[in-house]
Amino acid sequence: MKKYLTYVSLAVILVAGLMAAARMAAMPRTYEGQNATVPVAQLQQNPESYDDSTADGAAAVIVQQNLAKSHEVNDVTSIVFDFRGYDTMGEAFILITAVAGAAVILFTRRKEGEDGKE
Amino acid sequence: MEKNNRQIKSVILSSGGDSLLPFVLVYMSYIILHGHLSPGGGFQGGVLFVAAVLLIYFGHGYQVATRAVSFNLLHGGEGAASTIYVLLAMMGVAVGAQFCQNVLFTHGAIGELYSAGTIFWMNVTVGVKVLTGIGSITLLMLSLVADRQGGDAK
Amino acid sequence: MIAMNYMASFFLIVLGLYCIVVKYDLVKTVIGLSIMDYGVNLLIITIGFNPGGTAPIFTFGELNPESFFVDPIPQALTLTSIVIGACVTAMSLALVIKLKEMYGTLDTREIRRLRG
Repeated sequence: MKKYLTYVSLAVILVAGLMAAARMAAMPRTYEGQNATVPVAQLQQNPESYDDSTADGAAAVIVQQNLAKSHEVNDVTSIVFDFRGYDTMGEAFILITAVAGAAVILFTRRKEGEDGKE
Repeated sequence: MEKNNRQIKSVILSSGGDSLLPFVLVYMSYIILHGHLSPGGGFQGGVLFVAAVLLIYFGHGYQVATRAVSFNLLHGGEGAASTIYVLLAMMGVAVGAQFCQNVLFTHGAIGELYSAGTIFWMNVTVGVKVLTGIGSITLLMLSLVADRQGGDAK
Repeated sequence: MIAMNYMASFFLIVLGLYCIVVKYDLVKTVIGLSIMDYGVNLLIITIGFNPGGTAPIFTFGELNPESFFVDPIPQALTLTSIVIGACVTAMSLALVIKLKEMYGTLDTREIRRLRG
């Protein structure tokens, strides 16, 4: 009885997810690159000529202002390290926590095996 | 016969691993340093260090791998890299900029190797951080396999 | 074409959930957790796709006057999410190693008591 309920509920979640996927594919895009006020090739020739007065979201503002404010060719790297550098600092702390947690869990076994840390 | 077989296999493994090691290290440095000109950066390049550690381990055993890449050195380097990242991010706060703003960006032309100011140094720092972090987790798990097979496992 | 990406990501999420809930072996549970992470990352990236756009990098010598970019923000958020998934897998595998030493078996039907 419990197994039957599990399979039925998983099938319901799968069908709901597929219907949501079909509906999500028909929604408008989050960033319409074709309606940019200043085209991308012109931004590369002259980075100071950006124009973000009719921007409709954060992505439009970032694509226009990126070359003028940080001289950075790669958009994704400038977002990760310059516009949202706070998130990268938190993610560096996650790495430290994971290594410290794994070392604490696994080191107490190594100490009784050989002379790991004296 | 069995002793001959084991010697032939270990010679093949160690010489093959030694030939491939400089290419893996150069490729990793290329991905980390060119993070602001092409897709890549610190995170993507730091993971390739595990391939170098595994090549040393398969070729020469666990004792040589521990002496080449020691755990205490990696652990200290990770903390130092994290502190340097925070110091780089606070560099513009004294003059009125925001927390992670690019304050040294007038040093090179657009598209050169040393061009984007603090983003370049942050790439190298995060690359060192990921390198040491994931390398130390790999060394920890390799130490358990080496212990179970009684000393110097191949 | 984009609908295929969305359906694949939802299928991966439900497959990971099935592995976590139904299977008895602990290693298979950890694998299911990883598969759920990859499904969510695929969903985040597909949200910011624009058919016909190029990668958001101002490379020299490759931009035409009528090229446009895809959305760069979901790609930056997915970078952090991938590292988080790898760290969760590493810590849960360390816990599995410790469990195997303490109990001798990895069957969740027999690991039922907390020992001091």
